Amino acid sequence: MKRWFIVGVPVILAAALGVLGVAREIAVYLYSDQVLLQFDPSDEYSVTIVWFNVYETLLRYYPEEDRFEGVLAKSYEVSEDGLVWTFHLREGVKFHTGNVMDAYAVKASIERTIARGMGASYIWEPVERIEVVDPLTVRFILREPAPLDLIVSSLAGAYIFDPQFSDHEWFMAGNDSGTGPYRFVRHTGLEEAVIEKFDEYWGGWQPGQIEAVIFKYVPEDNTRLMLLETGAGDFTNRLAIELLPKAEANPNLKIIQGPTWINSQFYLNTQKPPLDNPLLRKALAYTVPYEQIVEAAWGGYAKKAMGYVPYTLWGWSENTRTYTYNPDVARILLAEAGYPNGGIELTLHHQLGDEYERRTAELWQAALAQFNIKLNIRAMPWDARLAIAQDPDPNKRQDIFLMYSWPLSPSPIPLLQDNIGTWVPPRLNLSYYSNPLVDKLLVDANHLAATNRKAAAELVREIINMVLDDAPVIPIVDCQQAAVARADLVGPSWAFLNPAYPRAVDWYHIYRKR
Amino acid sequence: MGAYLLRRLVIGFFLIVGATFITFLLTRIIPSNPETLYVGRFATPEQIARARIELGLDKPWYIQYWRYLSGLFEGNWGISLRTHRPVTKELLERLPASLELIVVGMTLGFASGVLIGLICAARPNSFLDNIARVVAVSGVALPQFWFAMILQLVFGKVLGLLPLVGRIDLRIAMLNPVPQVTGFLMIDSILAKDFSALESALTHLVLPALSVAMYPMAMSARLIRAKVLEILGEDFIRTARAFGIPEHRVFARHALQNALGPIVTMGALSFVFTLIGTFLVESIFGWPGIGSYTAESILSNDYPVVMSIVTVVSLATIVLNLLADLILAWLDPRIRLG
Amino acid sequence: MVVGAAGVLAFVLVATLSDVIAPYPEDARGAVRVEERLQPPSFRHLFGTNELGRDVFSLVVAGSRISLIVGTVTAAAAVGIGVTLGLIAGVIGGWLDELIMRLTDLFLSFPLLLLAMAITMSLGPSLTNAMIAVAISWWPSYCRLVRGEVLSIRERPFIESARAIGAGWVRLISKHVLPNVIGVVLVNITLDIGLIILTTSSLSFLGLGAQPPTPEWGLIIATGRVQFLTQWWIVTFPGMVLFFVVLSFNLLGDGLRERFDPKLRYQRKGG
Repeated sequence: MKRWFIVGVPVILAAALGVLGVAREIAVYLYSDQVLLQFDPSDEYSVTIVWFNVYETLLRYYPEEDRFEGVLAKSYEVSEDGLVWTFHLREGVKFHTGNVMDAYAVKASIERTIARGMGASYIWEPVERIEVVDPLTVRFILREPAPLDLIVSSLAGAYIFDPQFSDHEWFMAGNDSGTGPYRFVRHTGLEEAVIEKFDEYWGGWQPGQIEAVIFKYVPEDNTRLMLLETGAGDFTNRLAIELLPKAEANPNLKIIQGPTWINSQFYLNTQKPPLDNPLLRKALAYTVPYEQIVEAAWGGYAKKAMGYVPYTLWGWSENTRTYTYNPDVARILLAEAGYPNGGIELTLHHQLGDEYERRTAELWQAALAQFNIKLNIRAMPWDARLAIAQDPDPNKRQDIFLMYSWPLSPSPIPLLQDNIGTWVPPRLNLSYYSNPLVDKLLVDANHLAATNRKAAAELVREIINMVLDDAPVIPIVDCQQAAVARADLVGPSWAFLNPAYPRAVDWYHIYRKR
Repeated sequence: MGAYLLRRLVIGFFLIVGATFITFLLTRIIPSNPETLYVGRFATPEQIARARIELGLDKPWYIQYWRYLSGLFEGNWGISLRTHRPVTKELLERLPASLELIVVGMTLGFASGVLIGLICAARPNSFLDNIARVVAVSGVALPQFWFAMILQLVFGKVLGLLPLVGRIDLRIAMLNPVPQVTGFLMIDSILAKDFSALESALTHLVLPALSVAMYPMAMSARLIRAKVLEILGEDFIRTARAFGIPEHRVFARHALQNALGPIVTMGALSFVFTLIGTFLVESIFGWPGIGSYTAESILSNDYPVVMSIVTVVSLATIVLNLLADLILAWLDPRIRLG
Repeated sequence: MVVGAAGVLAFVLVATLSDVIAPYPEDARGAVRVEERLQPPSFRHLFGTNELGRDVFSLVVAGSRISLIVGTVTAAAAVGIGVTLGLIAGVIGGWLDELIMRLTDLFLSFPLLLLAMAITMSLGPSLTNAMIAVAISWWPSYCRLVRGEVLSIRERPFIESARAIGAGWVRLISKHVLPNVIGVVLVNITLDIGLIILTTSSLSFLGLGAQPPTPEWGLIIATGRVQFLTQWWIVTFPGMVLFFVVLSFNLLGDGLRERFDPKLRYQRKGG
């Protein structure tokens, strides 16, 4: 027993050192939220920041250039009717387990994800079957036309892993069987995760690349800034807006700013009076102090939303009708709606602890007071407010639900279907809006997107304009990311920030400048 | 004595059951959506339906409660809805951090409190006494969360002397982690002879421990002062003095000894409360302990975690109460049990 | 004790006159002044402004009124329930006593946060519901206190003789028990009002109590937390005021206890 102890401690120490020797190039990602790891690649869709570097998909989407990067698939074709998609796989790709990736593995891992039916597996709904044409070619036959290239680029549910090592318990024990440049090493509770380089990554390795990444949960913004300043941390996805000027002034740090596909919107309860009155809803849309919100709630790191599709996602258009802060129009509409002197009381639910939402709500509250409309703000945990929002009785639900939304795949259509489609019982369509025409058009748009994305975008714009007229949901802002990194970390901008994979950093493409 | 013990244990058992039942009720009547917490935000109706069955939520409430209770006895305390890991594992992981903080904090608090109390009792109503009493009372009046932030501001930012958050320097934790033997960083780093880690752990401990120590300091100072003064006013002390026994012996042997009893009781009672109550201090200092974990779980209604914690807290309270009463009886033969 | 009394008096004064004292009373009711956000303390804004441009000094002053109401109402509720149950337990005794005692045990071993959460989540987060939660977790101590007093009085000879004469319980309680009990209760209330204010502020700090734009001290501190290392005034001043108010109540309570607690009277002469 004693001997084991004497041997064991140095071994553990050596292992720890060996895993993360001081000489290696390590990057530290300071994360503002808990590193809540879901280990099963078929199930998880919450912690892209870690798994993005460990697992890969067939394609990845880069919205800045509106292009697909062939990751595990070098190229692909789609049939004219949009029903048959053929992917040509990359050769010589190894799983972390040592096996080689081929078409059988792709088919098996996607089928496993579908069979498990957890997480984001429903993105594969249009797929009728998957065929192996040859070891490096896989073919998808769809039930109905759908933009499969967008689907396989999803941030969750589309990972390819080694089907021979895909037991759920094996994953949960902390193992991974991905193909990515890094392999999962260990994690500590919800605070920390460590990944290190996979030597046999198909992309090869150059000196100077990042060899290991530590993800650390650091909830306090001030601490994250201090760690960055001292060099103990290398990157953080977010910093309180009041602290950004300090980071900017520091020559060792740089701010990486860019759009995200996360937007913040007010969902008005269309099934509960008084908000079942579309004129009232439109009037309210003109009472929101958009500029103030961008400035005071988001510190300028947000862009006023145009429609329901976030900026830089296809389907966004300058020609979408927008609401602006216009008290005069608001008053006219209020009178038309039957409330010339206001006199309404509404309850708004927002996320407990979210500073941005709180300020947004308070700013609107102050603005509404001028119209003699009382807004009651309630901060609640997600769980509780969702339960109230999904209550079968519309009158028990809130009047206004403030919520972020973002797409799982780089496509606006599932996003719109989630938010303004018909769902009974309610799911994420928390304005409870139901318009069969809109539902049908969204399905049509999806079919179109398989072969003609431009036409699909046009159709999406029309759909949004149609719905905006009814104003069930008031778009507020598209959030922007202000990430902070050490200035000596260099790489293409899309490696630091890709709206399609929120908060994930492509560490493989980042170097430390010497 | 045996009958007393048995009675206490039986009552204690029912108390625990009662506490878990109330918690169970509370977590169910609150509007909540455990299935969505379990499956995630984008859950489809089919996934939610399946989660309902998997979590046993489709059964009537009394069956659910029974399952939970029987699970408790078997050692299965449920799976956290957020992390999908066993609750026991998560609690045990975080327990040493909290214990370390609380033990150090409370020791600090009690030690300083007793000292202050004794000073006051030795010279009651003097200037020193009054100052010390104000200090002691401040400990109770102090908003813990605010005090913690002020400490961070002053010592962390303005003076730059002490670290802001965490248990240990991030660099040490990442590159050179102290091998886990007990989970107490101070002990482990000594065992590993890693003195830079020890230093780091100590500096990280100072501010949180200070925040935690305020309340016990105040309570114990007041208690000691009151008790000692009370005892000093009693007859047998006058007799001792009349016999010519020197003052300091009177003080030490008789006054102190009798005052220790209530301190023990108080210590036991406050220990458990401090464990959960320091969650504010933990979250401000980024201390990965049970307190902050409890708060998070409660705020997201991760009910398996919440129920387990309530069970642990009630269990600990009852056991500690019992122990305190027993120790008290042993210390002071005048107290009859039962 | 005098210091304490002075502090409490000042607090009550400020609370009642808050509208007059506050330079920008509309800020406490929800006005927003985005151009003036996050300004450090100055002559125009003694305590600076917060992230929405509101004058922190006005917020703190208005908050005093809220805290006063919270403290007194909640204390009254807790005392009401606690004293009633304590009297019943002490006077009637028997299994009712046992039941009530077990109930207090249960409530005492219950984490306040959980109770507050449950109540605020099922009823909706608000200051009122937070007060209900605090009152519910505070009554056991009063119950115990009163019961203890009743029990000790019960054994006294004059009660025995009074009963022997045939005096009814109600009369006994009101004439003999209550006066003795009131002293202790009053002392404790003074101490507790401060702590109750502190507890409800903690709940508001977590978001479970007061909702915006209510200028409750705990809520103000919570909103200032994110940037407090750079804009320290939003957290520091409300906290300081909260501290002083609670301290005042405690000093007052301590002083009262010293004056009225017979056991402690000895030190005034001896020692």
